Amino acid sequence: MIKKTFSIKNKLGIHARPAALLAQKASKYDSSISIVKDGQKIDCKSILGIMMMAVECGADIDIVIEGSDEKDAMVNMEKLINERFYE
Amino acid sequence: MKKYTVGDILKEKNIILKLQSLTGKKGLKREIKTCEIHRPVLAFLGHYDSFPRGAVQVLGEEEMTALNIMRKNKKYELNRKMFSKDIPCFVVTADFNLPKYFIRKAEIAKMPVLRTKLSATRFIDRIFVFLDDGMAPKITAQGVMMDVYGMGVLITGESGIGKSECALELLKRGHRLIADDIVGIKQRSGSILVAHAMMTRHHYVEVRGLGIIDIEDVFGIGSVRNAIRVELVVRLEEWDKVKDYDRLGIEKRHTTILGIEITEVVVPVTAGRNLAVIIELAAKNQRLKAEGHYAAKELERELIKITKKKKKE
Repeated sequence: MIKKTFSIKNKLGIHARPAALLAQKASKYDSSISIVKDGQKIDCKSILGIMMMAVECGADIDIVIEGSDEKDAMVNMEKLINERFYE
Repeated sequence: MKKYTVGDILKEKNIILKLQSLTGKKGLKREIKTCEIHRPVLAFLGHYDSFPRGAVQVLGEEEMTALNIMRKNKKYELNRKMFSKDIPCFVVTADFNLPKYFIRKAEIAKMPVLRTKLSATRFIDRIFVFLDDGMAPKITAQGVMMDVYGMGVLITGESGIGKSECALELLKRGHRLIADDIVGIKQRSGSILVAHAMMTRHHYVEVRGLGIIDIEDVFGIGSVRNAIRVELVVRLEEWDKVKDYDRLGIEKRHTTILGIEITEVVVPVTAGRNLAVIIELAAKNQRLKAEGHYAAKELERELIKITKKKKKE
């Protein structure tokens, strides 16, 4: 299991488009990927789940990945978040 | 878990508590630490054992009588302990008039004293429900929460197994959606789990290929509800040939949510299985089981009767 903390830098936080990108990317891996914010844990493969969290700009989230391809998954999730979802 | 101060209940508009403060704004920041309510009649007469300090202290007719006794009998005196810092407040019910010295003592201790028109029983009922709801332990669960024949069913399973599609089929059959994907669950008093939508105004479902659908718009207001008691968990799993699935339905299987055991049914998914029908059946069967009807047990009894008869012959 690997865990990493990220700070969200998008102006609008994780709104519809970033949520879709996160869910799409996460669904490509066999590992279970979840987002943890304020003690609330959400499956990162669920777009509605991500959106219901309403992650605002400046918020800290943990990405927790567990499974056979966890390292590869973390690299790509990290890239997506650090590139501010290409916005 | 939400925290409440005395000021919060004084200002609360959603439930009608009809409260007013007799001691002004002093002490309104005191925290209410439990949803339990306490009647301090025994404490007034000198018995402080097992006195729940974090609880709202409700004064009704009994306490008024106790205060009267205290006035007549010098043996009893309002103990300073009654105004200690960890007691949130006193609430006088049914518009009783408190003796002036009581309010003076409270003011010195910066202890809020509130008054309501409601009778003690009515007030306790309303404030308990309010505090119990706000202070209830909560989690969020992954899955779809449906009302199937009036029974709260939580459908769980890995992402992409078809939970949302299953929900759509159930909706089409006239059942109701509480929440898709992320379900809030609260533990209410009496070991009851209540599931609710995270955003109460809308009920969305995500369908791969179509995107996000507003269920209320498509299926109508009758197809959604905001909360329901969780009574059954149906876990969808990819069919595993090695694994043994329940074939009889005699054993009780449980899953634990917030420390409470809930019956769980594991349903293997394969092409050609109509999951909605199976979930409808599971809900109906669960109701029968709750009333003591176990089809497998009854079949077993019949079978034993027949084999015994055959043996005699």
